[in-house]
Amino acid sequence: MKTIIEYQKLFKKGEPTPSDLLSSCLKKINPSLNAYITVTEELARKGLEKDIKGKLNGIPVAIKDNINIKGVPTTCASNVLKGFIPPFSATVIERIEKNGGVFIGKTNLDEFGMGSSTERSFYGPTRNPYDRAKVPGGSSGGSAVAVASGSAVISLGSDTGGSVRQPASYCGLVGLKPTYGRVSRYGLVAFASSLDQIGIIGRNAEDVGIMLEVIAGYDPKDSTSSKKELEDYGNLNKISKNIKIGLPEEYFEQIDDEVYSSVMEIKKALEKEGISFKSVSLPTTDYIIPTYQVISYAEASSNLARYDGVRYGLRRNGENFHDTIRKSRDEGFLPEVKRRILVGTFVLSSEAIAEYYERADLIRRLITQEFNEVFKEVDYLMTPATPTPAFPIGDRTDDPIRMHLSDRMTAGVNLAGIPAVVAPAGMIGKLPIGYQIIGKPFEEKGILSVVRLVEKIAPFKGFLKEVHDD
Amino acid sequence: MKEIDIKRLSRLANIELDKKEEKKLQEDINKIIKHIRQIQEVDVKMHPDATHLMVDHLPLRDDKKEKPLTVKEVLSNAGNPRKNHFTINRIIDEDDY
Repeated sequence: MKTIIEYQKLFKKGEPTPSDLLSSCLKKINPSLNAYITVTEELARKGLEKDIKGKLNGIPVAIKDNINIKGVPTTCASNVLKGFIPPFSATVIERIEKNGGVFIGKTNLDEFGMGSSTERSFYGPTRNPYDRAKVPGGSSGGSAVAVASGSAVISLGSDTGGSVRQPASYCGLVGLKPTYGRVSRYGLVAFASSLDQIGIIGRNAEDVGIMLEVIAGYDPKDSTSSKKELEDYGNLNKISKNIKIGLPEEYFEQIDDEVYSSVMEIKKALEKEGISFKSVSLPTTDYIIPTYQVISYAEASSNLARYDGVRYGLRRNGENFHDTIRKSRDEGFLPEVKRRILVGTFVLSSEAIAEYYERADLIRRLITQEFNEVFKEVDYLMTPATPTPAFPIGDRTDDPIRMHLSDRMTAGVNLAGIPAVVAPAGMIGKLPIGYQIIGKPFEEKGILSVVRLVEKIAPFKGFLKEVHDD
Repeated sequence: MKEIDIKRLSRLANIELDKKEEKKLQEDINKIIKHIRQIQEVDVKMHPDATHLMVDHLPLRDDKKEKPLTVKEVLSNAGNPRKNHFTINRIIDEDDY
């Protein structure tokens, strides 16, 4: 498997042609990994026929199945959206099409993005290609596995509390969550609207940057999208060695020793390049998960009220109108989504709203303020991406709290709306593990440039051989 | 901490639950609420001026008419559309006439 720029050069020589690359990617779709809910070969072939010359000319892209492609089912891995075929495409999809990218399929996820393992899908769990007994992370697990196993060159996911970055860590990839507002959410099915952001999973920083150049920018269809000017995110080779990186002490607690050592190896490599590090503190870190739970569950309970069986999706007729809605929703949602809707309903109820939702909103501001304060002292933050490598399938599905443990490093970034990227730090046994670089708002180019530098000075050697030796 | 009323929550959330589901979800939800109660420990009064990133940008689009989806497209995913309308169960009882 090669990079986007390498393929563009090879296409000019005709070895391979875009059609050859697509065929080779299709061959690598392994049903036992269950990365895809829908494979869209016909759509991809038609895309190639258009022969559009752009930044993604002929590149097969996998799309998380909560982002709409007109005419292709969007399931959100839920029974409640059975049979739903969107009559419009997401803005990011239109932008990829205009740049010549082709869509190979819609990838598996935890239902509506609610999970950290891609096990809670109506279409069954996705497996980690490095060890099939382990989860790939989630909720964008299908998008990560598609890239890690070579069936797509790059993919899109969505990141509400770490759903792009955590699977990137578990699958040895680069996963970017852009600043809230950098990428249009039009056509992304909403989970928690103040936290959701479309993200990118690729093999290296440059590919992720090129994709960001394609999908970022103001969209009149999303009022939270920003008009702030764009940068050449794919051009990452210039980085000042005068930068200072902060290491938030709280993010190095409650993690495996091997995870700590892997991140420290990256730190050492950067220090050799003259980059300085400083220990900093983000004291509210321990409250990130409960705050994230209150806000995301509350928003989910409101957003998912739309699934009533009337306008689209599963419908089970009952004795009366309310009975029809209640039956459709009971049969449509899996237990985790029901749990989150019910807790969200509780924290928004008149007797609990002040104690839970309003308080969580204030803590969210406090978390944001703490990030703002440390960014007066340092340019970026470096943390582990996850406290452990990928965990066994079935290990956490019965425990609604333990599943959130892996979100400790990632969800604060969503609460503060800032950008972060995860990239491979090394291997623990046969499993990859990632580090995370967090930046100030709209500093996507900066954080990707740090990852690019690490790729040059301490290249990741753990890529799956069967994928990367072709 | 007061036990949550799962029947009331399921009614508010419009989700029908059978007895077995009700029991399991009641246990899970009590566990989750016990966990999220941690946020009561944080002193939030000290930071009234803390702002949120998102207030910085909320541009509105031009107030111009755009091509909407057609009625056919809008109804294309509806369960049982009739005469260009969505349909639901009858909500007026015989007695209301």
